[in-house]
Amino acid sequence: MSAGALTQGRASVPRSLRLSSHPLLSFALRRLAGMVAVLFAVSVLTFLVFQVIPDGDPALRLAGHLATPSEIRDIRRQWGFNRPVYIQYLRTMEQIFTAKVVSYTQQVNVLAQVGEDLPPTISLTVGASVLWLIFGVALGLLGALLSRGGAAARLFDRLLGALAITGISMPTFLLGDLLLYYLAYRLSLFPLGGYVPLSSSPGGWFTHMLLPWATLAIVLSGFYARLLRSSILETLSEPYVRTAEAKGLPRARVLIHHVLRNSLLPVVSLWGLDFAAVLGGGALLTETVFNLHGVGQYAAESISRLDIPPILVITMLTAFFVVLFSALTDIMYAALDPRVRLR
Amino acid sequence: MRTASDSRALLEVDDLHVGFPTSKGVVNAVRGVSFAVREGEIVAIVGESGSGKSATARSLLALTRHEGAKLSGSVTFASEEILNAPYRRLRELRGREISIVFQDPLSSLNPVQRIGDQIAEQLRAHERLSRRDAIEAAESALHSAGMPQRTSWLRRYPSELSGGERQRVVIAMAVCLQPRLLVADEPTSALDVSTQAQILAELARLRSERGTSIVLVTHDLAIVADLADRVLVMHDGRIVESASSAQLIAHPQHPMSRRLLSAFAGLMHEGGRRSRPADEAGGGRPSGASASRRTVGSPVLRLQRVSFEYEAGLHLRAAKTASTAALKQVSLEVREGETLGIVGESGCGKTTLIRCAAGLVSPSSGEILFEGAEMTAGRRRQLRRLRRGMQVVFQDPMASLNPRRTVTEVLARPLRMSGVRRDELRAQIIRLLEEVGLSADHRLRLPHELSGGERQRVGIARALALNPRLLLLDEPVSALDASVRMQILTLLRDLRSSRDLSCIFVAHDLALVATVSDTIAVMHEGEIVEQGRSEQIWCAPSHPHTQALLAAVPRMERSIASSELTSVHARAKA
Repeated sequence: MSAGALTQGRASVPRSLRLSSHPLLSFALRRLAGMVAVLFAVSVLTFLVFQVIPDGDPALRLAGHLATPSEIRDIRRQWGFNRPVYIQYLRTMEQIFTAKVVSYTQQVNVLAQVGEDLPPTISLTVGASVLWLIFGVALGLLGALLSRGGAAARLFDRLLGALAITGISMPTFLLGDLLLYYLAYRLSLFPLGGYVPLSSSPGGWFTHMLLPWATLAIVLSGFYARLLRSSILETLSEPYVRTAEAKGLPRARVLIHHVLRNSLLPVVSLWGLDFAAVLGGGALLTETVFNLHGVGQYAAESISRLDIPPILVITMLTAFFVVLFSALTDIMYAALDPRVRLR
Repeated sequence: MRTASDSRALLEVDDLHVGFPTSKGVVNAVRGVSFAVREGEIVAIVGESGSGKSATARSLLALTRHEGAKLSGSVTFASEEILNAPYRRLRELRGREISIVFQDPLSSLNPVQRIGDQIAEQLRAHERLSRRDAIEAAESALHSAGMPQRTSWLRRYPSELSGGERQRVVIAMAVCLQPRLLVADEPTSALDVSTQAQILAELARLRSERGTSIVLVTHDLAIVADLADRVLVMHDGRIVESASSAQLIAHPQHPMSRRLLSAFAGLMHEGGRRSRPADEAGGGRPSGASASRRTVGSPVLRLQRVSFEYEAGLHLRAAKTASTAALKQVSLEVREGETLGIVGESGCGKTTLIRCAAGLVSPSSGEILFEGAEMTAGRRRQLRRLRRGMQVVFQDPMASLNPRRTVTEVLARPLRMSGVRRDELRAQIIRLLEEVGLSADHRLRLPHELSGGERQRVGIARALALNPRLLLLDEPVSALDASVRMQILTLLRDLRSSRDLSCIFVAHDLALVATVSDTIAVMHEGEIVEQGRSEQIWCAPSHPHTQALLAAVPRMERSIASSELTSVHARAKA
């Protein structure tokens, strides 16, 4: 269709049907509305959970061990825990969005604390996600190629598969502890956990991050390798790969431009979501094992104290990142695959 | 044009065997095929699906090797052995000396690569060219393959082209390096008739202008009659007859050749002679009705100025973002017991029309009345009830049946919905299967355990399970072999009279539509350009587009359909 036909087709759409004149803007607006809805739902659910679980009463947290019943009653009145649930929810939301929310047990500003904990979490996410993507793609490609080879190659592919499954099923707290015990404690190759800011010592930052990165990467790259391997095997039977072979292209070109390029699409969208989850504090165990003082570790500590405000904030933060990155992933997907329409 | 006899053999195939290892042992697709192709010759390989013709075609470039096939015998190209050549040598030959065009142009192009890059890639694999030179050469290759000059195609993706344009891209790619042998594996069976005619003309031109030898694999004898010098008939992995195409059509020797021919001719005859409901309904209807039946039947489905637009979406890397109108002010009606044929090229809006009529999508504007009830205004519940009265049979039975459901499961749900009790279910399923020509044995099969024809019979049984008054047939036979096609058409004819069904029959083949329908609507770019009685459209088309569709029907098919329809036309006039 020529450019003329294109504008013509567009003019025939009634103006009222269009949310906005620019499709990317209307996509962004729709996703923003979706994000508000998700954040609302997640916050309400999290809030309600702590209303119903036993021993969830925040006044007990605030009062400490030695409080008398009358002190607890005072706290309850003072903090508004005797008011209806929806009022408490709205007050907490107001505090969160005005950055005044404090944790019940330590009574520190939650947003300030999360801000302090973000750098280690970002370091963990960026480094580990690059590692698990690289290893996942390399192992997946290798596995797919081996599975189409001779008997010995296929055996090696099985071995890789078994290794990947072992990695996937290994809990991070076990794997992390094993790495810490042998590589850091027994052999003293790495520091025994903790976090050093990049700005104060790049070398220290790197050596402190290496084991946490490896832990997450080992667990997740097995998963990515399996996904990519089966995606490649599926693509290999596509007619356009046969066309590429019939064109007389060099093997590497067929493999990279026609097979890998198309097989990576599902991996890309998964990667975006995993990245968001870890960034939002999803790696609770890894952060705790290596004592990184990140968002995930803060979440883990808050959960053990049943401290509602930080749990609420971090849950919403995770939801925010997941929605944001799923929108970004969709845009990236549409950029990689011309058949995809953003809705 | 060079005559075939005075040139040497370019390709020689000697005792070729192709076996595909499966979990149930080796499937021998090709068992001892030998033939030769001379320079400038067009050789057709004809056979039903599963006869091994496609495996033979792919083996000419040793492509079956990548599929893990066991190959034996020999294929020599210009006296050089192909089957066991090293990859490095094969790569040099493929695309430069021997090229191949596959059946489905959409799936044989990389969906995420611009077509300019896909052609340039081929050129650069064989010649030292800069990227820019290759792109330029790609553009001229596209134009010489018949793509219109005015548009720049290079930055398009395959999904942005029509079926015919895609196949031209594939052909442009295959012939851009002027190969000496072109293997065309069902190059037109995924295309509509007028596009098919253009693609075939393109192949004929290649041979006459460049002396390219062509191996043409097809199940369609009509193509062969027009194009090929010599025909090889394959059956069960072997060549059962080899003759010049004129000789084969005039005097087929082997039973298989006769079957292919008669299936093809019979398709037209059966379709043309099928009883019209009025002729058979003599007992049930007032005697005066049969003469002017068409005006007596009340309308079952009526579309009034229906339009449909596909919603605009955002393609980040595509040329088009605007919404496109698929239907523009379409009005038509189907009367009781009548079959309305809708014909048009692919992309003209036929399928959208069916989807609107069936209530699967709601039109942007216009009215749809089914048995007098408004479908566009109704609530969901009412729409669902109305929808049961009309059922759709889809083009691809494999794609429209759930691969994990047995035939029983496919049929049980609609039967239960139509009020069949649980204890009667089994008997009803068997009765339904027998009605569509299957047996009780088919009950427990899964779709992949059925042949194409059997699958389409299940698709029809599924549609009938709800006792519809109107059957919407969306290209119900175009995915099937010629011989199976006839059986399905016969079945549809019988069902129509025994159940007194009204039908909408959608197809891209005017000859087919003309022989099965009472009235025809010709569609072009979302509009109905001509509407009328079948014999009238066939014998005296008035719209240029209808004339073009008619001209595209292969010669042989045309003559058979004509003999049927002109007699009807003459009778109607008298």
